[in-house]
Amino acid sequence: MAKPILKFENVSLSYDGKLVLDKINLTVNEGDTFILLGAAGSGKTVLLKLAMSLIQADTGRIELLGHDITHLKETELFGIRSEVGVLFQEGGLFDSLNIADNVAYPLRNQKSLAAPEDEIAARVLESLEFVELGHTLDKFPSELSGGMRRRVGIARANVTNPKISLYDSPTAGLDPITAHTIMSLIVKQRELRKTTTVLATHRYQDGAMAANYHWNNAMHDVVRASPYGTYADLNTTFIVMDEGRIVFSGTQQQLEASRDPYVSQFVLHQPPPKLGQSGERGHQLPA
Amino acid sequence: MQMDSIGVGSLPIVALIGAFSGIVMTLQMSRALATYGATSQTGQVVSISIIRELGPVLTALLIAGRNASGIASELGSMKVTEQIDAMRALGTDPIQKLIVPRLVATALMQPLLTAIADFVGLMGGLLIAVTIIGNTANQYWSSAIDILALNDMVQGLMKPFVFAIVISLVGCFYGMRTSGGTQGVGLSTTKAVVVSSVWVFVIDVLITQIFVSLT
Ligand SMILES: Nc1ncnc2c1ncn2[C@@H]1O[C@H](COP(=O)(O)OP(=O)(O)OP(=O)(O)O)[C@@H](O)[C@H]1O
Ligand SMILES: [Mg+2]
Repeated sequence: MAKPILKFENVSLSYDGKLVLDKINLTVNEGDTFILLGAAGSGKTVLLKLAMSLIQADTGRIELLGHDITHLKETELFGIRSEVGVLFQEGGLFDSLNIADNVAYPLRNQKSLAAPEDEIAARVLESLEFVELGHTLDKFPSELSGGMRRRVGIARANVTNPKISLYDSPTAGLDPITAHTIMSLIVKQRELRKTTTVLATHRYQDGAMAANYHWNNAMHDVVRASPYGTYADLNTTFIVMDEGRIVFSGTQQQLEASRDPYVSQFVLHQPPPKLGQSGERGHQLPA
Repeated sequence: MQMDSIGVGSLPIVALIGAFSGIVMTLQMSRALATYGATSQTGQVVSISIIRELGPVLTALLIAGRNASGIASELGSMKVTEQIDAMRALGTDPIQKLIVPRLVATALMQPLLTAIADFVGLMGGLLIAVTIIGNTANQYWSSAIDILALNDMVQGLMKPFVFAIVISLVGCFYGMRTSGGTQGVGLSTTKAVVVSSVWVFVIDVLITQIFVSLT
């Protein structure tokens, strides 16, 4: 029996009289990968913030890691949030702290994660090496490139070994090569640390990568989990959002078969799904 | 760190404004006092107006311009880059981490800066009283000090304290509710300065009214 780790029941939210989320229902099970596709303004960020109660829903119920978080007080939320990793769309790295202190921040401030300084230092280094930025400890966020800052954000999100990680548009505004690196790090985290993954993106190929690629430690890159032309699936659910409503929910195969104009336009607007030599990079394992 | 940026950073400009307001006040008053043949009272007039009003209000306007804007833009850019969300997500309370230190720093530094402005203002007055009006330094000082009652000192320190709380809270308020990217940060900053300056005058009237009715 799959264990639900994040659940929305009839969640609605409006800003200034405008409905930005309309009766959202969804369930993310432990170990799943959950891809949230949607155009700009469709409500992805708002949904992720609701998921850790950084904002409050108007109506509905949200359950995270077995707790009903809909009406919890901030102090009661801290313990639950310490088991959640989050990468913010705008980065959310602290300008005034160097990279090491940024990554150490959750370890130093979450009461439930308190640890001695030398252990923190070791975990910070490990987490930064995971994203191949072990050499940037003393740098400040403003000294790094946009792609490097995203990687630091991933390191900070995952330094606590969260049960679930929320990534808000991790590839937005990046070149295709860097975007690939970011996505492969997210897959690496998912596979090596068994992290349930929720990913908001407007790039269909991000979801395709999560659904079809494994991390291969020996090759140090992602590899296809099944031959080109087939769907590996990898416990990946796609939902498509349009102006605060979920207009599609299902597997990649169902998504590609959808006849809904908004949904299919979303998928087909990406590089052609010619299988075998698509925009997806990575190595194919010899059979 | 907060105290440094509010205190040391504002010191030169506070001293400058204090000196000029003392000088100008004394020049203006000298004519009026001369018509009543009361130039020996220069010290009194200058010290009362500086300690009760000019010192606290001018310093507050300066701090509103420097610090309400600084706080609003700093917190505003943290808000739009989701650093505030990150703090909450990673186990800290932004009110404790960001607002309380700024409030405390301003509330401690502003009375101190006001006292400095008052002192430099009195020195400016002394300069004019001695060189232009023809008082002796002794005459100026004794008339300046004798007139001051406890009431004036309390008023002169309470005003900057209350102004400080209002200025930093207004700065924090507009900073924390910034939205709409970098443009939003600019907007919050402007609003923080305007609103806190207006509050300074409103509160000045209220406090003055209270002290006037007390005596
Ligand atoms: N604090 C706020 N105040 C008012 N409206 C808001 C606020 N936050 C979000 N919205 C509105 O909610 C809607 C959804 O916004 P959201 O940021 O979730 O979109 P998104 O799917 O993340 O878009 P993007 O791909 O551009 O990041 C938008 O119409 C936005 O204007
Ligand atoms: Mg977004």
